[in-house]
Amino acid sequence: MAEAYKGVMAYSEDKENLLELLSKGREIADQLQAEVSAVLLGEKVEANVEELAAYGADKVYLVENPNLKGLLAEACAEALHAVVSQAKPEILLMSASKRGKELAPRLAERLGTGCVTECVALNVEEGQLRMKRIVLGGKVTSTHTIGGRPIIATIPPRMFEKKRVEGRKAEAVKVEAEISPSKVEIVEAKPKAVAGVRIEEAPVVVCGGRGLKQKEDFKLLEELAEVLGGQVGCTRPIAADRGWFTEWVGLSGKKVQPALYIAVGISGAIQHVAGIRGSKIVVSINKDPEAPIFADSDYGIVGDLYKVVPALTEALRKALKK
Amino acid sequence: MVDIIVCAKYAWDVAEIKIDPSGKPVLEGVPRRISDIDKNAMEAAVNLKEKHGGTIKALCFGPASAKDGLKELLAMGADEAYVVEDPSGGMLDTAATVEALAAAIQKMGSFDLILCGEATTDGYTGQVGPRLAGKLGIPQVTYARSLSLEDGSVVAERDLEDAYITVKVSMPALVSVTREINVPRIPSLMAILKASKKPMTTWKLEDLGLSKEKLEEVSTLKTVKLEGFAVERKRLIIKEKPVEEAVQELVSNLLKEKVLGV
Amino acid sequence: MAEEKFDVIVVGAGPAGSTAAYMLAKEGLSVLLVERGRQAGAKNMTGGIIYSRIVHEVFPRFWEEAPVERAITSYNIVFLNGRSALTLNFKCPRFADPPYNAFSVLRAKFDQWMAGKAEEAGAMIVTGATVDDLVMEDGKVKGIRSGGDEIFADVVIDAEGAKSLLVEKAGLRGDFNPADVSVGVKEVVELPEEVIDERFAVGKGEGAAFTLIGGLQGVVGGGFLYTNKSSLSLGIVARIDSLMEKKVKVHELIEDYKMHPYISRLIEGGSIVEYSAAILHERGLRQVPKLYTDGFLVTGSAACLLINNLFTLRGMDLAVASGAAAAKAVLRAKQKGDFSASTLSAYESFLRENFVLTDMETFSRVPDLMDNRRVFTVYPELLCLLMESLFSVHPAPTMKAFRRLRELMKGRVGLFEALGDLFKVYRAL
Ligand SMILES: Cc1cc2nc3c(=O)[nH]c(=O)nc-3n(C[C@H](O)[C@H](O)[C@H](O)COP(=O)(O)OP(=O)(O)OC[C@H]3O[C@@H](n4cnc5c(N)ncnc54)[C@H](O)[C@@H]3O)c2cc1C
Ligand SMILES: Cc1cc2nc3c(=O)[nH]c(=O)nc-3n(C[C@H](O)[C@H](O)[C@H](O)COP(=O)(O)OP(=O)(O)OC[C@H]3O[C@@H](n4cnc5c(N)ncnc54)[C@H](O)[C@@H]3O)c2cc1C
Ligand SMILES: Nc1ncnc2c1ncn2[C@@H]1O[C@H](COP(=O)(O)O)[C@@H](O)[C@H]1O
Repeated sequence: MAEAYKGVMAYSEDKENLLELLSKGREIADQLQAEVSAVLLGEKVEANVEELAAYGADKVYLVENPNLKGLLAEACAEALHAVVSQAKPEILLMSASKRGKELAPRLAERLGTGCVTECVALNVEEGQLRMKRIVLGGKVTSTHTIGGRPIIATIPPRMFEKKRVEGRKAEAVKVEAEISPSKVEIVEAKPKAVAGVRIEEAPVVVCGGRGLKQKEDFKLLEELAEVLGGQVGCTRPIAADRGWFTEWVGLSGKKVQPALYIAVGISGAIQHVAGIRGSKIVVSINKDPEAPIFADSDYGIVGDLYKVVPALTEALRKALKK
Repeated sequence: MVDIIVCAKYAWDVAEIKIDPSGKPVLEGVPRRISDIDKNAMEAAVNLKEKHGGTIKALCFGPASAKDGLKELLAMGADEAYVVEDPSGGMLDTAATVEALAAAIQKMGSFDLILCGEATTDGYTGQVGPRLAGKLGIPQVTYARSLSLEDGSVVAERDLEDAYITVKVSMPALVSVTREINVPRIPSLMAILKASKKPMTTWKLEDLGLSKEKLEEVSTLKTVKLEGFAVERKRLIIKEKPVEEAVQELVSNLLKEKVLGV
Repeated sequence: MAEEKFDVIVVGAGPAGSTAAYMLAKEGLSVLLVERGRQAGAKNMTGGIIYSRIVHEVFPRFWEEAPVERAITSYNIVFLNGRSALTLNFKCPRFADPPYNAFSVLRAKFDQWMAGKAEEAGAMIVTGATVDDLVMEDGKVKGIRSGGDEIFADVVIDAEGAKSLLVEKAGLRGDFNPADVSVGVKEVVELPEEVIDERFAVGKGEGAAFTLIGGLQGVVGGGFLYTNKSSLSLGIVARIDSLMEKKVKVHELIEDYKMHPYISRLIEGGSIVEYSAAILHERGLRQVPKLYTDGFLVTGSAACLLINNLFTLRGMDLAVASGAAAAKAVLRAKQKGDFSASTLSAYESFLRENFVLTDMETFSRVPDLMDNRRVFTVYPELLCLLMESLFSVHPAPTMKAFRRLRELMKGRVGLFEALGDLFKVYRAL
């Protein structure tokens, strides 16, 4: 039965992410000598088929339905179910955004197949897709295969680069799907002020944790980051509890890999450390000599951040003659 | 009145997991505890019950020892707890977990609301909630950072990357919560004592019309490799030195590492 | 809220508490055992040596099921100075035969096992809850308070360990003086099992214990090193007054220790996986508070039951023995239906019968000996220097040992002083 499924399909509610998934999908499909398709869902969809083709799509499936308004998971799962039933892809790549992470498993359940969320690597070995993800609080990676079809994998935004190749063509296919109206009603949407910079790409990251008493104190970190030409980040409680920022670093947030990572007033819970593993040098400043972050640091200073950080900024300014 | 089922995993205590010299994680002897965010789900359930009345049942698919963990949820305020024994020792995937949970939920009778955590601390897939909702054919609300009941409907504020979205949905429904939704209570001694008298039911798969073979058939995910992260850090920690001196030492080390001004 | 009442409430699931709870539950009493850690052992120092005799009495053949690490067959007393070490080694293969002499244990596991036995016997165990006060009526203990809850019992057994608050609340003791309190730090260093077998020259399942004297920058205290199955427990116990006087911190001492060539060789290649600190009462018998009052008994470290005779540090076996004695006293009180101080006073006689108080009397002079700094500074240094001169061959003519010793003593300690000290050691041990 599995043989009937062929090709790689990509879906994301986010356009940039869709292009990344298509590019990665193209790479996998080339190894499997198969086609790549993209899916677009919406109340109304306008497809830039040429652009999708340039990033690797051979086919573009379009589902338009008034019940897809707001792209709620229940409705999207029904739409994708219809597309998958028709196109029978072997692999379905989706976004590991929160919207993607709630949609993929619901769809997988409907299709009776397996799903791997938040893949950090995808490889084809002996004709099989191997998916790697981070588990056990960030201490371990596990690599999986899936026997069911399609294989569903979600991939964090910006995990893989998008690659444009001119001169490719794709065919658009409309799919009719019966979609029931969702029982979930959107009452209000409050957009977050989205940060402009991508902390994932910064050469230096200065991260603050609950050791910082008030939002204004992040100025200290900004000054330090400025001297170093870096970006400021934070831990999950700073963003999600206190709402001082919209994104955080760690297992459930951004994964960073700068040359220099500085943790300020951060205890070093493994879920945070999971996001900084790729850093070349880790420095930490914490007043508690027993803080676990020191075990995950190359250099550390035990002391009060309110004294250490300004002194460090000053010393660096002199050393770097800024 | 609202009848709630809280799904909770008896997860490995990830802080206690060690990596052996060959790079394999050592799971033997690692203690288990109720996955952190599932306690937030429990707290959310108790808050709803305190306001609207009703019942709370805690449900876990896991080892027989999960009873120890569920005691904590009973002490927090669940009325009853159920363990469905996993004969595989945690080797099954989320599809199989959901198969077992759904069968148990069917047997447990009617419900208004199922609460889950956003993800577990050990497996961290975030799949079980949405899959379970899909399997039961009920609407799902994920990443809820607030939760209330208004005229018989669930109102929740979802925390997505780019926006907070408030949604309303009729029951029955499944809601998964974030760890920011509340601070789980620490049960008092009296609550713990009372919990020991609350009913705890253990089911084998056969009691639910399932079998190990059936679950293995559903479970199509295979784990081909587990590798521990081996990041060795230098751990040169400067303590009990005057700030100026400590900072100088750090700067000169960083200069040596050539990570400044790159 | 409906009133909750038990026959007995035991506070603290260390060896003392779990033993008492086990013995009482086994006799059918309703027992509540309250532990503030997430599990029994969660808050306990990571390792130690437990002398088996009394444990075997309470839990026959416990080594067959309890998580013991190694049976100790090699005892070492090590005198250290800055660079060298003199070791007295005693090997006793007989200690590897049942009923054994002592085992190294990791407390996190061992305490959990013991608490499990109490639970199996029918005690109700509540973990993650702290007892913060006693419920008293007319000077009699009637129960405990935890958070806002009050729970009642005929008897409360205090097994809180060295930091006991309830002893004070029951009015059995006042504050401590820093000269009476020591702090202990311990690190667990992981090493493969085979490396330990080889490095310490012990057979499978057997282990070594080291008592370290000297090498602590003149601080009053000592060190120890025990082999577990696949780790070592390395620690220091130092008097708080002496640390204050020398202005050093224990964690600095242990860092220093690890650099000593003798110790660094033993722990080489290991990785430190745990670090913990705790207090101890080493003043012996003099520090023991009144052990009972109406409806209340004090056991284990809470009662300062500890023997440190320079060579061995014993607390766990005394804790088990006192837990057992307390249980016996409560059973007798239950029979009589009288839980007043006069009935409970049987506890003290049981403690005499079963060796706890008698052993503490035997070593009652040791704490004074410890006040004598020379024990920790001058003598280890002297012994090491003497050995160094005995074994090194110089171009100069060699002196006779005793003359050499007199030479080395000059400026360090007078002959009569030294003879006096020797006599004190003789009397204390
Ligand atoms: C499933 C799951 C996923 C998670 N994902 C993430 C994630 O992606 N990212 C993340 O960050 N967390 C995550 N967490 C949360 C994580 O477990 C920790 O709770 C969190 O990282 C702690 O943040 P913190 O270090 O800022 O705060 P704390 O743990 O409170 O630490 C504050 C530190 O500041 C120090 N300090 C205080 N004052 C000063 C001072 N004046 N000078 C110097 N130091 C000072 C303190 O000593 C302390 O060590 C997750 C948790 C779960 C269960
Ligand atoms: C560094 C060091 C090394 C040692 N080495 C040895 C050794 O090798 N051999 C040996 O025999 N002895 C050793 N000892 C002594 C030994 O640890 C103690 O004598 C022994 O643990 C006493 O047992 P216990 O049951 O009285 O108290 P503990 O073992 O201290 O147990 C007390 C329990 O009560 C709990 N508790 C405390 N207060 C409350 C409360 N209010 N509410 C609820 N629960 C509470 C605690 O969490 C703890 O679990 C050592 C001690 C130290 C500090
Ligand atoms: N074995 C299980 N038993 C009960 N509930 C579970 C189990 N596994 C996961 N869940 C629930 O599903 C949520 C998400 O888990 P996961 O998909 O494993 O990240 C958890 O927070 C729990 O609420």
